[in-house]
Amino acid sequence: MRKSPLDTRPERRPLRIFAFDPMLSRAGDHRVTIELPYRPIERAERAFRDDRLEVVDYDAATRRYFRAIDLNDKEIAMTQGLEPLEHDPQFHQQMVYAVASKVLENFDRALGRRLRFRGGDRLRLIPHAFQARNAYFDDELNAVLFGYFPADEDDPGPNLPGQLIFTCLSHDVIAHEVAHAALSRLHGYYNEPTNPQVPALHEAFADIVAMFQRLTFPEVVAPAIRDSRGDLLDPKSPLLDIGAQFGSAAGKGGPLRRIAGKPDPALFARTKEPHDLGWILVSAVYEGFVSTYERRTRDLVRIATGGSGRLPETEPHPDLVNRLTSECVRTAQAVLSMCIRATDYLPPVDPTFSDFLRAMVTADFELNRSDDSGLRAAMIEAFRQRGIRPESVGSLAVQSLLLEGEDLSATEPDPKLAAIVSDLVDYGARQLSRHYSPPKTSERKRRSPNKLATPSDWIVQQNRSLVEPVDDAAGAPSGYSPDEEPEQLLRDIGVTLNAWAKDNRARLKLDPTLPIAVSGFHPVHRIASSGELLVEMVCQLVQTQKLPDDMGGLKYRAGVTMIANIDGQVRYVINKPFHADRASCTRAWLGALDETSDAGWPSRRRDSNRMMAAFSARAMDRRRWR
Amino acid sequence: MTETLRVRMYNVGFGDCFLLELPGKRTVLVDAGFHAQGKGAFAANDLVDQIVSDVKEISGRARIDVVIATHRHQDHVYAFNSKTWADVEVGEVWLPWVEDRANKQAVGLWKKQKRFAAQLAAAMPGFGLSAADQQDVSFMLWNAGVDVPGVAAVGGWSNAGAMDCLHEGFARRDRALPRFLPEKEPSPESFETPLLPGVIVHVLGPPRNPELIQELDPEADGETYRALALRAAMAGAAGGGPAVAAPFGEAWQVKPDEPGFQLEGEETGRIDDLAQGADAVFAAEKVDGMINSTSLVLVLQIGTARLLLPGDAEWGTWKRILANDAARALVRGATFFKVGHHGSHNATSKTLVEQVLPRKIPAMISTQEGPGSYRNNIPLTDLMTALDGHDIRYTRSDVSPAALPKGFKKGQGDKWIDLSLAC
Repeated sequence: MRKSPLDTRPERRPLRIFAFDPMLSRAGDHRVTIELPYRPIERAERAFRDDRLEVVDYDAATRRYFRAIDLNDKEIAMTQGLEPLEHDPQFHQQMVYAVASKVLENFDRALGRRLRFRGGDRLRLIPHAFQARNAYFDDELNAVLFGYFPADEDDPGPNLPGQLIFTCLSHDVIAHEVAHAALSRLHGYYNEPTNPQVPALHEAFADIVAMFQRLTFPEVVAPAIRDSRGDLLDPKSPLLDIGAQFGSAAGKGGPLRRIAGKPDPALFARTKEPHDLGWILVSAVYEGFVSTYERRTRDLVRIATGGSGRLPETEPHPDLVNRLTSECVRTAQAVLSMCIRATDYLPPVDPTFSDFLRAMVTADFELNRSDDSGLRAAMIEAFRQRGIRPESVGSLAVQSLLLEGEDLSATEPDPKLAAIVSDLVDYGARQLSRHYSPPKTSERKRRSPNKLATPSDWIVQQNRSLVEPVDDAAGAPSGYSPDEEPEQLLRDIGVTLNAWAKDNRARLKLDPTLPIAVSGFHPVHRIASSGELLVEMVCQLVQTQKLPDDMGGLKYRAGVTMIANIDGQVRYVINKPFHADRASCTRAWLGALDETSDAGWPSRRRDSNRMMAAFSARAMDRRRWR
Repeated sequence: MTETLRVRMYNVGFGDCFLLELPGKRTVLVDAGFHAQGKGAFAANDLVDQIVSDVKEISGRARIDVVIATHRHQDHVYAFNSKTWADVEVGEVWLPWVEDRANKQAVGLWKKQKRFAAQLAAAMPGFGLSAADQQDVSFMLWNAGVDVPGVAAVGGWSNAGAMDCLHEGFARRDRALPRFLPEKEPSPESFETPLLPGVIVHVLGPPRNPELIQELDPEADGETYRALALRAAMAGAAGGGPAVAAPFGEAWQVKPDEPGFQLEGEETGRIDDLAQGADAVFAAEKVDGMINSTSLVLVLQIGTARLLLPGDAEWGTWKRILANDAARALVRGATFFKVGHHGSHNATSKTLVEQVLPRKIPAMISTQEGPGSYRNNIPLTDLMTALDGHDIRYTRSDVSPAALPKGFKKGQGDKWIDLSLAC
């Protein structure tokens, strides 16, 4: 509500995008307008940015910059952004900015804090970075690089042969990559593929974000519901395609894999390839979503069909379509938030699908104890049907799927911890303010990326921001240097937290001898469905053990995710300890990789970084977008 | 009385050329090629003259019953350029199915592969490779049939010429079109031909499934594919201007001298590297490996003999073969093994030697040592040690002791080595 005539600052910024790949949306049905939270934009000729994203239109193939769009221009803003056009580079910039903002908004909302990249750096988006059929997140640059390529001359699908296809025009690709970026930020160590489910989780998580975000656009969902008469599992429905344009353009004559088919519990145990594993997880979440949607709309369908439950062959009534659409959108938003929130309850290293299942269930339980919509139970059932079992729990009843919470009555609130949490929560609360913009002084010099000295460097290209544990004996304070983290407050919190963790090793189930690295901490503000305000801190602590043998570039780590409330009580200690089984699982996987790739002669040197190279973001996404 | 067959391994240097004499005076030629940078005891037409003379000795006429070309690498087919072949009668020609010019998939694949190799060759100067690396890359590219400056070719000889001869050449053929093997799934495929009575031919590779095509597709590594295209264009572009057309016109571009925010040099440097970064040696190895993977893998069953002839098949192909029970059984029953790819590490795995091949069989390695890191490990010492350890007696075409193992006999002037096998 405006208080004065000068207060014209809007809440939301509407922008138009392609909701499906442009090849599919020639009909015009799938251009939608989405609304982003309004943030002031600064523009230079080659780039524009808000406080968290920066779009730089640099093309490495021709070493040129393309002119940046001015989203503040009144004529552009008046029409909700430029008209979606395939060959307008400024529209491409608009599109990546819009979709990326939307993804980050969904993360903020689910996580209960403003997602901040390391050191307050902006996430860069480079819509036409190189000529290749790929798009990926580069950790060194903290940038998402989008490629473009000519359609296959011999089998271009619905494209013209040789026509330029831009990966930045696909909502799914943009959302997928930004989700990778966000997950890398939340859990940097997930870039180390210590077991097949780790890269699988990364891919699945990114696909889930892309897919479910699209399902929150009513303009996209309504036509699909109308055409499939409410059946969200219809294999012909465009809702199920992710990255549809790539399958056709690459000459394979059809969109990429679809989620359909009867679940086979044995498949999960048999599957070893990360992309295939990832699809199992995505289909489990999708099925949980569909069964919740069906339960929520059962009464509508009953009313519409007079009790028979089967919609007629004709197009459903528009009112019915609207109601079904809004239920679909609501459920999709709930699923998206549930999956994102789960990341707070995951261990900091070596996650598995079982960890993700338990994290999802616990996160949801924390926010609403009674599962009113049945979403939680539906998810559990869908996972079970696909053979994803929670490990080291007794049974499948909801309770034992929950992570073990600490017994709050048994421990005294810890004043030191309470002070840390309260400082952090204050900082977080300030960040959430709509008028917040980072003070100029806190803008650090962007860390220069490592030079790619040898060819194998850019095959690996990962992980500059992993925090190594500091050697305790040296006595140096741990934490970040001013170059890494310009906010003094956060640096201080890091140091204090490290000290507190050292004092509380036993309680946190940390290894007594190894140094502790504080790999991340953030505040959380959430409103439970009962209206209660939850204010907590999530903190990740990691320890590394040096192993003598060749692990293909991987390190053997253990870690703890600790959740503490504002009173200084530890609520959860989510532990991934050192255990022989974990190390042998990694070794076995490395052995399988070696066996597939070479003929076994000992004199042939193997690349010491081969595991990282095989499952780097670039390599994984290259196979993904084929 | 048991019959005998004879395997003659010619000393062609870095290359393969084997003449089989089967009971009933039947002749089979398996590959006839050598690398221009790795010649053995023969030059140009000499090899073909020798083969024709040997065949005449066996059967009295210039006729070879079956000519097999396992794959199109020059070091296996170069000698088919010779004009002498126009006077030789041939029963059948066998080629891997990817050489079928009527198969659209295969044609598309070769088109891409040729483009990839040509772009690598064009982009070579821009890579700033060391002399040793350059040598390796040239070696592999020439073998793939790309014109590489500095490698002297025999007058008018080329890869295309050799392949044309195999498809359409020779004096007269009993079976006009080549057999493209295997002809259908499933693997292994077995057939007999009236030209070789009493012989059963088992084809274990290359597989016909489309997954193989995907693996072989140079565009599977999209970045390298496009980076090479870019670099080739850059090398060809005049005056250091942009080598490729920008995706959007001048009106959209920001002039380089316009003031304002720009990415730091290191940042653009990194993006440029990511965009154009390609490992030339790695790319050349991919080209090499791709063609090797199209190799015919045959087991010729003649009486009690089982000749295992895998061409230059690499580990990927072997994995599939060993995973297939029927194919594995055929490999286990081998009584002779022609070592693949001149004894390189990738063509014969440790598992194959130590666990699958039977003991006490003879083997032959047609090979030649040479300079450079690619040729340094050919033939691989570990492999030869493993063969010894498994009681597989072998000879090399290039270097052999004065006293050969049992069954082997040296030819005059070190031009060949013969092996007699009971069958």
